[in-house]
Amino acid sequence: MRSSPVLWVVPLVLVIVACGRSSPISGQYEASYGESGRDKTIVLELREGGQGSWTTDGESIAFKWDVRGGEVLLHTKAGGVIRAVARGEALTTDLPGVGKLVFRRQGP
Amino acid sequence: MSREADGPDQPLFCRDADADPTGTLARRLFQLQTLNEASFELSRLASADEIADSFLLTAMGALGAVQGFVLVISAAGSRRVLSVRGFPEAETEGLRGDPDRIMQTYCSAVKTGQPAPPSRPHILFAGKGSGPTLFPSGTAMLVKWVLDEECGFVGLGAKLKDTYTGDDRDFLISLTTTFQHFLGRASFIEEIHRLNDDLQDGNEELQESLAASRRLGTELDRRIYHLKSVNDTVNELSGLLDSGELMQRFLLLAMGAVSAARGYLVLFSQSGDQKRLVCRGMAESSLAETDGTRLSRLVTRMLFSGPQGAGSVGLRRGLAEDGDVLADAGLPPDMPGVWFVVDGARFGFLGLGDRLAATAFDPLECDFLLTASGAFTVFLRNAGLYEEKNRLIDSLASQNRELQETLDCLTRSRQEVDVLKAAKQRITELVRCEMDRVGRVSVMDFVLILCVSLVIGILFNSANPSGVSLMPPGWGRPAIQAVDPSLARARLDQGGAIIVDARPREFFELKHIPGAVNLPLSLFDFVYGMEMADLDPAREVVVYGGNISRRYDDDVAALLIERGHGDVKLLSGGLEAWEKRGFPVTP
Amino acid sequence: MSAFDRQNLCRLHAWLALAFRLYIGGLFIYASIYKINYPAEFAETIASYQLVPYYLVNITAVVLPWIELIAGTLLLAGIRPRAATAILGGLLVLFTLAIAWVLFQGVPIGCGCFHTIEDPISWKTLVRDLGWLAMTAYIFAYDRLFHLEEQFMMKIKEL
Repeated sequence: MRSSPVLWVVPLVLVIVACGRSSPISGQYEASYGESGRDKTIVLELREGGQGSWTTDGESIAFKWDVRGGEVLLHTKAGGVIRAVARGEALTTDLPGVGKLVFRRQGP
Repeated sequence: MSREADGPDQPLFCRDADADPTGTLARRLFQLQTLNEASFELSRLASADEIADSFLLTAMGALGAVQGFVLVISAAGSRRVLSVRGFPEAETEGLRGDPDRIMQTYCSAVKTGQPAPPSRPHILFAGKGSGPTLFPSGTAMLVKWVLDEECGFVGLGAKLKDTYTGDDRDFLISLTTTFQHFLGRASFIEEIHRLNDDLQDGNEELQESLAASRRLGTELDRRIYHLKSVNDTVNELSGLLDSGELMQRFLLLAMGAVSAARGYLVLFSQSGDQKRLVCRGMAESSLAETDGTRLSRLVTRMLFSGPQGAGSVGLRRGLAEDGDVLADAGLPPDMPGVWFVVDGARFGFLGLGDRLAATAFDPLECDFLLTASGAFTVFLRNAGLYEEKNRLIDSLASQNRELQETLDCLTRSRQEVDVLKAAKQRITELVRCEMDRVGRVSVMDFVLILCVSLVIGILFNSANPSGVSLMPPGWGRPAIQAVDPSLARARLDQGGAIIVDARPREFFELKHIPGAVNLPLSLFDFVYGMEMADLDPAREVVVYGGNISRRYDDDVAALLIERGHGDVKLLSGGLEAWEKRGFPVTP
Repeated sequence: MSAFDRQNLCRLHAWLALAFRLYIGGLFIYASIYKINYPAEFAETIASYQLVPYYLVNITAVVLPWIELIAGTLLLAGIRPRAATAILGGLLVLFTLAIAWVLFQGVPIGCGCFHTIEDPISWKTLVRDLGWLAMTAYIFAYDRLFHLEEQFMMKIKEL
């Protein structure tokens, strides 16, 4: 009884921290973003372990991601959250000033 | 010789017989011869009675009397000389009577105590039958004299023939004078004899007393010596406090006092088992038989039988000289001595032998031995008490030390107990305080938790790759230029500037400046890459959107500058200023 | 009320307080984990309330979750429970006031209590927070069972 509450807390914490780190969502996705004739390709890579990268124009932005409900949440370093709705093999995001972006899974 | 009686013409001596017609000369010669003879005769005699007898005979013979008496009495009636011849017994009664009566009658001048006037012999009376009744009735002639305190009478009876003549009377008086003289001489002689006897007696007495005093003197010397030796012994023994030494010295002194060559002193404890033995001049082995119980029996017997009775509270000791008694007690029988009892418990015997005079102790020696033994017992008891006292003191001292140690130990223990009690009290209080603390809230808890949180937070943040900067970024960089809203609007209308809304999406959708590009700070990288990456860096950019909690405009402007835009300005006053100017806002 | 009933009531209070304590403790621990992991987002959330000055936002975002975690752990384990309860109660008061303020201002932000993406604050949020505050007060008053702290202490009786 003496140490059981403490022991009870620790695994709980670990479980909470560890959950949601790996899922079938992980993989590589691509989206096209075209405006005024210039098509930009944005590669979204969701790696195992919650790390991911957003590559555009050679610029790669790292972020953390996890799944919550039916959404994939991308957590930016600056503190923003991008919600991507997962529908089949596609992820749909909505960026401010940009609009919707549909990422399709590329590769395995 | 009375001259009146003589004739006036008669010569005293005449050779011629014819010259003496009456025979006076012959008579005179006869008288003188008689006187001479009487003198001679009387001179030879010593006692008054003999003289009186002799004189009476001479007088009677010379005068031719048939009866006669002589009576000499003294005033005090102490002496009487009486000589009677011829008179019948009955008639001399008066002479033998009370001398005082006679004295009173005839010698009234003689009074006792007064010096009597002496009177020479004189005829009291002459003639027959006319004398007083005291004297014999046949007294024809009575001569009386007084000398000193004596009164003398000479009485003659009648003559054979004739009567007494005057010549006879003179002659009698002469005889009486001579008689008186010799009587006196006799009495002197008697006196002298008596004195001599007295003297001799006195001499003898003197000699005796002299001898006695000499004996006494010797005796006293002896006694003095004896007492001195007792005193010396006592003095010597009194200074000793060690029993062994005491015994040694006492033995030595006793042996010296009675001049013994051997001696021993044995001492038993009350139960008779512990024995102490000191001996001089003899081996200890010869006393191996000395046994406590036997000696105690002897002592008990002596105590109850001797002059020191059982009830005596004084010193109990006595002499034991009988060899059998000594042998009975296991002691050497040839060494008499003194038994003694020390303080009612211990007892012992002092035996002395081989004395110079091998006899029993004389009284002085006995006395000395008893006294010395008595003193010895007292000193032995004292020595024992002294040793006892020392032992007690030592044991008391050691007990005292132990007690002191125990006391110290107790004090220390008590102090420790006090300390422990205090400690227990403290601990109890502490625990109670602690117990209470569980139920209480203290400031320390808050402080602790906040500090721990702060530290852990900061550490974690610095280690976290996705941590935030704790220092507000705006403080480290140069201030970005601000532009007035009117000017900005003018520029915007001209189309030369781009307005950027740096706020989060929700706020942008709520209200924004028309034509502003939403470039939230949190999604800067993403949105910029999409929207504004290919913008002309030289184009003027006005950023707005800060609030008190976040300088969105400032941070975004800084990021834009980082990206290369040279002309980035903040909207002075933000959206509020814009609105206040009344410029259009679109929800 | 008889002594027996009073005793029962006391026991009821104690057990209920224990239940609340476990719930609140677990709640705060759970709530703190996300915020510790994404401090930038939490900073944004704090900033969106527009109550904290900009120079304190980040430090608050860093420290507050840890306060929640530590206080929640202490409360759960029963170590310095009253202090932990007081701290959490204080935080709840702060949150309740902030929520009330935001509701009054009409700012459409999420509570930010558990997750960045949450429903906007409504009166329901306020009621929820008030309920938690009531629970915390109850815990402060009645909690006395299963304090880990007491295991380390001897009772006075044993002394």
